[in-house]
Amino acid sequence: MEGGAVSDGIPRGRDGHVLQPLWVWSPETIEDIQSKAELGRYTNRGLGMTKRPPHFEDLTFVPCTLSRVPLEGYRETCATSIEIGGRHGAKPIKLSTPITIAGMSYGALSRNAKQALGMAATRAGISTTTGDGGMLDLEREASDQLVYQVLPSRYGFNPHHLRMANAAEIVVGQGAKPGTGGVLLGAKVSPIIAEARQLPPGVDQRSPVRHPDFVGPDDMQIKIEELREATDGQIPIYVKIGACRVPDDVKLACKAGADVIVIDGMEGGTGASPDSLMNHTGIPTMAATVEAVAALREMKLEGVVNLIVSGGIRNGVDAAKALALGADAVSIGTAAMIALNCNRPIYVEDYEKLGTVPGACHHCHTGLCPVGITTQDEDLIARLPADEAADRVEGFLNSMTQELQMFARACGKNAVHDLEPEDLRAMTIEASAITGIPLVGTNFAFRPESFAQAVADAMAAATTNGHKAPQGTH
Amino acid sequence: MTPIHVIFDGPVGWYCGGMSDGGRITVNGSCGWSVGENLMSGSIEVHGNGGSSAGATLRGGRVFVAGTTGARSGISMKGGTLVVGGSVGYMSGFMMQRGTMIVCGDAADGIGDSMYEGTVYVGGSVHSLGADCVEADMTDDDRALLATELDPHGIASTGVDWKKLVAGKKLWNFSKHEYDAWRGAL
Repeated sequence: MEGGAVSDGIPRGRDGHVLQPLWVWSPETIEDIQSKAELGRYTNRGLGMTKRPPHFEDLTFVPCTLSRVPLEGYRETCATSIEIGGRHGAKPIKLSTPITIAGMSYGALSRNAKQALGMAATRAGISTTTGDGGMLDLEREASDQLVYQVLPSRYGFNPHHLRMANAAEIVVGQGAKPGTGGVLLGAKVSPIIAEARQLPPGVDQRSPVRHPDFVGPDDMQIKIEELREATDGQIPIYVKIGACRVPDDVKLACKAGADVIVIDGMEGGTGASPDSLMNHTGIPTMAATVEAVAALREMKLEGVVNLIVSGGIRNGVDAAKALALGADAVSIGTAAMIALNCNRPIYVEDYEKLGTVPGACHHCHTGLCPVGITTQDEDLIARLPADEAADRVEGFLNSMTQELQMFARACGKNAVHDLEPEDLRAMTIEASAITGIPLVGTNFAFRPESFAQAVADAMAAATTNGHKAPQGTH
Repeated sequence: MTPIHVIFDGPVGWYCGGMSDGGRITVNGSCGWSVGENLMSGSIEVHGNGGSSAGATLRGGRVFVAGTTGARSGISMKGGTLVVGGSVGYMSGFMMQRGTMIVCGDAADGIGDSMYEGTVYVGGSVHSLGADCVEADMTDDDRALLATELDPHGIASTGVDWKKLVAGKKLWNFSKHEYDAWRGAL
């Protein structure tokens, strides 16, 4: 071998010996430093985090066997619907299946993408959500149930649109980057998008994170009252929070008067955000779900204030696990985009122009989305006919519902909301410690209270067996 | 159809006139935070002091506060006109997008920070400019606009050393060669 080379995926030196990359200075780290050196700032990306967090993947279902009786998998009815947001007497959002489509802005997404999501949500009997760019007429027309976001930027915020909405969602933060606003780089701030947001065309729009007209939870309570007054108390008020100090935040949102709380875990997506924030802020959705449910239970508001969890929900299996842990519904954003066509291997040459390939594209921030989803370029938008795209999202939503029902039936439940923690086991000590669910092969959850109970049990057993129980120090 | 005119004799709380579209509101007293927040059109007159975030995300119409207002007045304005007879607090005009803010008194630190567009006029002293907020030359059109806005309230627009503040536009698009401008903004 004359020079260094890669053979069988292993980098080798001139004499063929294996070159060991350094963990600290991995190829990814080297690339990161050099791209920042070129850019002169942090790097922005779309989609979400690159790390693997503790995830619903680390849980497994333990369906019925001799000890429990299953329902027939492909035949027996299994209810999926739920109404949410009725805490203060507003007209609730009726979900035929416990899934919602998350807020994604018109601006980050093309009009065809927004319209297709609305059409799919309507056909599937669920709700969809506006985003940081106001309400698009096409989206309103396509969506039977539309949640109107009240964001810190208030780009395009219009009280008439608020009154046309079926629910309002105060966005306190987002799982991908809690504590920081979003970014819409100049390439996507087309004249139409700029006018919708009252911005100069082509600016790098950096959204604020603090709301302009309130600061803390007590203030938000007054804001919620204002929103209720403006809508005659007819629509539920949601509060969406990036998952951080979940128990405190859930309790504060409950006290402020939220009808629905949306907790968005760190796996949550974004159109464009600093890469470092996505990987190093927030807590995973699985952990956030457990903490949110416990907080609602402590407040005796479980089932009164509804809980939607989001962030990295990929299929009906993740949704079933979230419901088993106590969520009322899940919200999907990135998964819905992927169903639209995101990362599909078509127009491959345009992925290559972006320096990427289908399956690894996260170049939403460039505005040059090869499949017409995250772009404002007319030629690219034309690649996403709304009706066909809606069919795909509807198909995916239906598959999620089927998966939810499949797991519920296997666990002997005739309603997906009857799934419970007892239907689960943890595959890792970490997941067991986070969720309080016993580790597979044991009857033991790796939590302090379980250890305390184990010690108490051992002492009781020793006493029963006639042995002297261990004594404390005197 | 005659536009509604609501008169409050006494102070009012938060969000007075918030999200209104048309009509006229007069407050014979002071008001709490966020008076006229997201006003679409119409007018609000407060014959007292205002709280923080007066005229936040204003999109149209007019908000007039005779006295002083608190921090973040005119934050994220997207249109319309905010007139403050007295002084404004810290970080007023933050991320202003469009519209006109007239401050007859002093502006506290950080006025006009990260403005995209829009114009701020300050009659008194400017404690410090926010990131990328710069002073521009006053023109006859500016003086005419000030007279039009202030005369109806009996506030003299002449004989005042007006400062006109606008966006420096250095934060519109990132340039690594202007890092000093971005140091505080990124």
